[in-house]
Amino acid sequence: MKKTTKKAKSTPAVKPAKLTKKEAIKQWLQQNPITDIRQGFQQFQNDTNIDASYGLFYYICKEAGIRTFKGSDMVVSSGMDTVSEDIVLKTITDIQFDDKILVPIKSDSILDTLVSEDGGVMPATIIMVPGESGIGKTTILLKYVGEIKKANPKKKILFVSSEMNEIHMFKYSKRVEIKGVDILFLGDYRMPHIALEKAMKQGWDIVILDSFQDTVNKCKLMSGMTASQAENWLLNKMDKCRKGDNDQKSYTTFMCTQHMTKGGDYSGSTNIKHMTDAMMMMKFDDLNSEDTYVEFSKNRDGATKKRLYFRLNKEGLIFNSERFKKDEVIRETVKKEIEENVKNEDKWNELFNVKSVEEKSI
Amino acid sequence: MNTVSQKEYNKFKQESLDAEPVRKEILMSDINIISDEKVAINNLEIEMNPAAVSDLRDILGMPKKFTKQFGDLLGAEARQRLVNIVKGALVATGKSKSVTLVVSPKSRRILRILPENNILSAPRFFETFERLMNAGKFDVKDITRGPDGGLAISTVAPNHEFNVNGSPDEFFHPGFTFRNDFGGGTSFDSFLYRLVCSNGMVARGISETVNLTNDKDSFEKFFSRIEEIKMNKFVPMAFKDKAKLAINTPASLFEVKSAAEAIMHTSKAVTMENIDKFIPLNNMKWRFAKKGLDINKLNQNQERNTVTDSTVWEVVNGLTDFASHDYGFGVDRFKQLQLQTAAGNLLGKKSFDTQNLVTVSL
Repeated sequence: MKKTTKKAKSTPAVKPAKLTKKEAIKQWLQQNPITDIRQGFQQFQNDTNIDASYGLFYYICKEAGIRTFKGSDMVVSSGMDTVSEDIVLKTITDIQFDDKILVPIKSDSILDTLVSEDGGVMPATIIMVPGESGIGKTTILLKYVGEIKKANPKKKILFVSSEMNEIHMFKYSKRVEIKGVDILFLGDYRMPHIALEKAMKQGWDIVILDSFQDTVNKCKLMSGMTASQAENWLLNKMDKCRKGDNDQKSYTTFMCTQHMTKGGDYSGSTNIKHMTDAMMMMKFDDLNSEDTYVEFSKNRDGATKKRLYFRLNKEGLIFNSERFKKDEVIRETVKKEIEENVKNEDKWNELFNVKSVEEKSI
Repeated sequence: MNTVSQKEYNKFKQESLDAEPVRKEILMSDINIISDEKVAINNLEIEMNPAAVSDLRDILGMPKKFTKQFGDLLGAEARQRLVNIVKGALVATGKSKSVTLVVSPKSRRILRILPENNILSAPRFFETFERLMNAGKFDVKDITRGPDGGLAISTVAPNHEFNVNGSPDEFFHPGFTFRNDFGGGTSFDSFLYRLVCSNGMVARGISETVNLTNDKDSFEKFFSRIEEIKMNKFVPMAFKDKAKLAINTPASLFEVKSAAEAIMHTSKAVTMENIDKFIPLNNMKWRFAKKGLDINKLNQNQERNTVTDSTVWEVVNGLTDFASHDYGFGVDRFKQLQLQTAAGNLLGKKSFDTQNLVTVSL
């Protein structure tokens, strides 16, 4: 049920016939105290779940009696800067989080070495997992969190199933062990976005969204939000949750499966890309299409461009640890060779008493 | 079977690491050729060894004979000017932008000049070699360091032997030779050790040489190929068949002469008078002469069609015998390794000279 709240009173604008939209907004802003506007907008947000940056302008235009408007009507000169939040500049010492945000969540899986340099899932991160249909995104994540749960029984892990129903999940459980993981089937709810919000509020160490896009679609359908609004809403909720804004004060990590376009590109807005800390791609090998691998194309906490090959068969998911370790040795060898070239430069300079470029420039 | 002890290997490794030449990549435009044995690099004068002179000539594409004749006719200064002009032209057309100098840290002379710096450093060579050793149970048979710092190590698998042709004399141990050669690059070849006479042969020509450069893709392909070779227990696939054919095919006079010349080329102490111990060329010459044939008057094609009473296999064994033992001719190990390779090349020929001869005539 929609909440009915008392709106703060604001003086409606009297728009003279010759005023432009910007002038009308400016006039309305001058006529209404900032505190009232902010309070009114807060209530408007609570009632409509609208995105903050666009919503404030929407609210003001609505209150100012302007029926039609577009983004370009929103300019600083119209007075918008006076009603948006005051800016608060911070120094690094002002930014405080509990040290547990730095402690990785480890499993016994070789995937730990890929996810972060510390080995394991870092708290408070958003990891997107794009891949073609059927490549094994859900299976890998379920197996991985199953390993995490085994190694960390006290960790709370939620699997939000937007695409699979209970039958699919039952079949999965025969191939991939998914003990100790709580499951939310979004399809079971008439108001999926509220169900999701309630679940997230409980506080989790890891939440899997399968898939991010389908979750957005389900939230959009029953809430009246547009696709863009629903996406922003979800991203905002995730962001709050990972900062510890939940009942457990957990720094929640989100791992979200996502689809790829036919061209093999990641399917999603730039907004998502900017918000994510890591992009864990899953692809078929160019040379041998039976081989599939996981590779981070973006990873704030770990390395990128390292491939971990895997096979999905009747026995389940098998990572090719041996191949990964061999590749690591090769990477290390090539890295050392590059360092050797630098040493050769120094040896040459020493041998012939030649000053290096840096020394010459000093 | 004599093998190299761990202590000897460690000593060889340390000495090789300490004596590793210094490599420096420089622009061709920075080289000024002062004389036959000296270049100036950004006003730094450095002397060159003959091999480096030869390398430079090859890079410039100047035939040795022509360059010498030019100098003899017009003087050394004119020759240097010509060489510098050719070098300048190469640089101007972009055909040779940079080269790698290989310099002795002891003598400060240029040992080699390479068109590109793609062979492994000494530390990576040993690391990779030791990794290859772990691929099977091998003993080190030979360790060699060339005058320019090139390295070669041959190994045998003492616990694995195989037979050719069912003959009691034809038992072999497989192994491999791993080389870091400034001329030929870093490479892996199968190595075969014949038990009855303790002869070793590098099976280049019978099996594929696996090359390695210092980039990631090359390492991946290299170790992938090693895995395939390992599956055949390091026995070159074609060896048994080739050996059988060589046992049953008479060597041509050309093949006999080539082998003898290859041996005589390694040391001035080996002459026509004492070559017969390994390749009975002198004896053949005398016996052909008795039948009215002066072999000195034959052209190459005729030599290829002259059937001797040595088999190809005997010629190969003559080469490997000389190459695998110290008979007091003062031949360094690197040259012996080259002979072992020549033996492998002979055995690995597409077809032996007399293989397709039909001796029955109407």
